[in-house]
Amino acid sequence: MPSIESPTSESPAHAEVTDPATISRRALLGTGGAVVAGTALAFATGTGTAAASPSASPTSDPANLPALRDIPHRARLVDYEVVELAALLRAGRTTSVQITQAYLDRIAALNGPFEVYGDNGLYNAFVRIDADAALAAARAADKRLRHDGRAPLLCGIPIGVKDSVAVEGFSTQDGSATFAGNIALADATVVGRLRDAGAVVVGLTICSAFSGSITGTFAGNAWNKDYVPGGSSQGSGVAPIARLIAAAIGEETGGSIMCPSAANGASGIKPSLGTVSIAGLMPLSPGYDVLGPITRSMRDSALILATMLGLDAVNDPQTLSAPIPFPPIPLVARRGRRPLAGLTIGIPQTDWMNVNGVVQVGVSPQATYGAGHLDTFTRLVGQLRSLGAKVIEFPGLDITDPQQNPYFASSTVLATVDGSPVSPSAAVVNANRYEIRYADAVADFCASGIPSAAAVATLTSQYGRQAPGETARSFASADRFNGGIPAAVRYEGEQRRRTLIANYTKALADHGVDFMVVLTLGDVIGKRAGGGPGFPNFRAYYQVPNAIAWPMVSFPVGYVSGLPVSAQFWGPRFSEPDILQAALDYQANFPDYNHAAPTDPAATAPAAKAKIAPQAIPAAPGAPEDPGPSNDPLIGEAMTRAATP
Amino acid sequence: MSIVEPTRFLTVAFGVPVDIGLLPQVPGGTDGELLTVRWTARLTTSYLPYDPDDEQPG
Repeated sequence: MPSIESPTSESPAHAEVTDPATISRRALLGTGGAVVAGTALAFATGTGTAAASPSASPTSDPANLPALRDIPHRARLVDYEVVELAALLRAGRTTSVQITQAYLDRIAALNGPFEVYGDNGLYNAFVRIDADAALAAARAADKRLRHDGRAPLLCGIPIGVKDSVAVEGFSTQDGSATFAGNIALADATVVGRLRDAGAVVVGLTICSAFSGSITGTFAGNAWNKDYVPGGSSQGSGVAPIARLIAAAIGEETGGSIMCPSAANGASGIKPSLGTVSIAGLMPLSPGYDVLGPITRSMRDSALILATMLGLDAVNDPQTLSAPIPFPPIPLVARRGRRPLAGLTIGIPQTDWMNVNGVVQVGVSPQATYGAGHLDTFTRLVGQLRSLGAKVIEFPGLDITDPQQNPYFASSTVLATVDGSPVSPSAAVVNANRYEIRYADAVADFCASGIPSAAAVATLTSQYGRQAPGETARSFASADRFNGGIPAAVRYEGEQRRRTLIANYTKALADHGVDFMVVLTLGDVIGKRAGGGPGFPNFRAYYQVPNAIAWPMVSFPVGYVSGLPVSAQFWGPRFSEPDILQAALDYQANFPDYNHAAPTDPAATAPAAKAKIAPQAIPAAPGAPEDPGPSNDPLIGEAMTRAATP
Repeated sequence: MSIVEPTRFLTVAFGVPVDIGLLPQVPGGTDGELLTVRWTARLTTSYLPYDPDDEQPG
């Protein structure tokens, strides 16, 4: 429950400033007004299960857990939030083994067969698990909890991790059977941090093929398995809501945490670039790729983010660009009737929607929403105002305007390399891919003899390139292009990216907007089968937060046709504490949406063998996944250009 | 002094990022000018192939 009321919560959070540098510093470092004051104090006080300990790490301090008396009775053990489970574990009311076994039982009953990169007939949220290892980790966590009164709050909590993130010993396949045999030799940095905190890794959650689709069909939606799950972190969005796991880790390059969070009504966080190390991730577009939590409540996700984030200078120098130390992540909601007082939340009117494949340039986003979604959004605005926020419509930034967006929307060709034109964003992304051996590493894998000939052909198609005049795709061609981009051209691309960031920052500052509220999905989502549009109405430029490296959170705000409606807050880079605090405050005051539980689909007999992935490549039944809107920013760039007059 | 080597995480040996995404905390249009002699930050010149626009040291 809320623990404090910020003493400065009535003061304006957006003091009048004109110097862009000052604006940026205030916004980016979160030094403005109410939110940060509340954030800082949130760690120092609490009404939790133990006395507050200002000297303790926030992620180990029981004061940041709900008091036992404040935890409502829930129907099943698997319905409790992470922070509630943590409190129950510390009180000896349950054990990690009991919790882990409860989730394993549900996975056995409701997940369907493992190793199926396609529709397996049930949720298919996990593509592979190791039940024995999970239970061993749970036993170790229980022992640690018995002997260490300061064990991290995540100790004993079962989690799932996206299939593109290294979990030692697991085959890590990024949504494709072609990567069978890509064994994780070490835990990704974030996985290591979560394990160090005592989290119990159960297995890998399924994702879109090569993390390439934001709609997805491999998994079934948590609320109705016949509907799309959102992608590319499909299983990570489904599993927490379907009560197959307490929490999950997703990866996002363009919408891949937000879309599954939105589609399933989960509480997800896409951090700013650099907040969380991506070391150990199978990359899609380095410089955009981020890792973040997806759970059933924002306080759960906040706790996981606070455990995950931090410097990783050797294996991910992008973390060097984040403030050190990072501003404290709020873990509890603020007390009081108007915790959002002083905040201005903007609804960007040029955040165009894509309706049935057509970008609605010139049409207010709200004007495109389905009736139920518009009613829900209108109610949300009223709820935010009731909590004290000033909610305004403001222009935002028109991404289709080359003057505002010289990065994506410009038709400028910066260079021609190996016969191919280099756009500003290609200058950044392709050069970044060269730097991390994007094609080289897969070429080496293909030459190793591990993948089959068919898998090599698929991987060559996915990671290779066909230059003008060439007859087939090849890794060598990709290398010539990615590595051939001149430094000056890459620099120009980077500068244009920075200009877009500066313009978006100014668009908020000009109207005193602290952060924005949007609906990523503006109407009821589509069916998993049949080939129809997975998202009939979605934010056309869902990749913009990735391009400008800003954080975004998604949380459920209602239900239409039995499926969730989710809103997103997003704002300047490293404003995680601000938008998280607001989402925490919202859920504390309107808890019904994120506590709702779906009805289980008809269960089948346990069909899954809970062991590490076999080395044999399984055949994926059914048709290939409808790729849907792409997670690839270069595709996004093409979409932007198509919409530009 | 020993050098800390990057970790190899996967069979598919993706590399470790070196320069990418090091966007500044305060996004300005330029890298700024601190001196009359206008040196400016340059990205990636040590890591990418030969850049024909570069002046080569003599």
